[in-house]
Amino acid sequence: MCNCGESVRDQRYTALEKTLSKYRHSTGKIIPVLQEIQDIFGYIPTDAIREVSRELKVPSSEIYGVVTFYGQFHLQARGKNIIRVCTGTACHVQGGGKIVEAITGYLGLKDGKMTSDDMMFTLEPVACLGACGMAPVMMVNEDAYGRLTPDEIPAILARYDENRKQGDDEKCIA
Amino acid sequence: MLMNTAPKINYRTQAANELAESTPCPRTVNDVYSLGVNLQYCIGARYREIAELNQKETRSDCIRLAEKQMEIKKRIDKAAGHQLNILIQYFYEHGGPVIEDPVSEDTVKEISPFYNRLMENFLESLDEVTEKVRCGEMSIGEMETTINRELISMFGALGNLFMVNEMRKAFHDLVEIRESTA
Repeated sequence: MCNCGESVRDQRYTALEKTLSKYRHSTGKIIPVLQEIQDIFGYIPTDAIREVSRELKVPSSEIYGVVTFYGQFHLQARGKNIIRVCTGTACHVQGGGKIVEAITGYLGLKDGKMTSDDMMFTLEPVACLGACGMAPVMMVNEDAYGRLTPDEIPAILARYDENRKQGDDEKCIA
Repeated sequence: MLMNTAPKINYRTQAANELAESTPCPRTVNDVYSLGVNLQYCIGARYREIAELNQKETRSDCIRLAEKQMEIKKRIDKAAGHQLNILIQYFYEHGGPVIEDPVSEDTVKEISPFYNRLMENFLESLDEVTEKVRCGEMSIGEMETTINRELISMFGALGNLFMVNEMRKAFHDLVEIRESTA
């Protein structure tokens, strides 16, 4: 039986141990530790918060407070591609809600889930992407797409979906 | 059989193909302005294509016309921005209501065949004009006049397809912008 997943997990936790030994008892180094942990795992696992708490001698609640305060930290595993959809007023009045619906429909996201089952996409509604004149707007990784219509969503996302890869970026405004 | 005439080149550029595929019948004022912007890219691409085929003296005219399309595009963007401000103002003044598309899906289904036909006719006339310029039967100046005329006529006809005033006004804006820059 293949145990590749297990060995990957072990390697990650070995890296975590190394990181923690570097910062042992450094109570003022929470953010650098969390950044390194996120680099290792792609997010901040609950186990890691417990480990950090023990090694840095800082209560878990405090670490959790830091993780949830900063937008750069994530408590759940994220997909390979990050979709940021603008939910600002301009995008909202131009039909941004329908864009979100089209994305959740395409990715099959239900019950507040934001990452697709195949871990290819994570949807992140954001306050503003600063391109109100192109509303409604979304970004997939570093590519921005403006003046979107719900019909265009499947074709755009398929370009980033390795299972259903398509042609060039025709509406990309980046 | 020997062909003694040059094969007819299909000038429909990638921009035009994309335009035909990616601009369905508009349902909102924003869609109308998006159509206007997309057409500017399509026409600009056509002028640049002609510039590649022409000699030095006409090439600069074509490049100037291509750049002019981007200037017109900026004016359409400005009109779209103005409309967006009105929409946001309405949204805030009325306590954040749900803003429905002014044109229903059923209406779009009814209008779409006419809309597609008008768009198709315009793109065909764009091909004809390009072919004439390529064959030396039409000057760049005549090309510009013809495209302007066809575009204004199409915007007018498209606006008449809609009963909703704001949609008609958006098409009227596109006509005005085109006329003022002709």
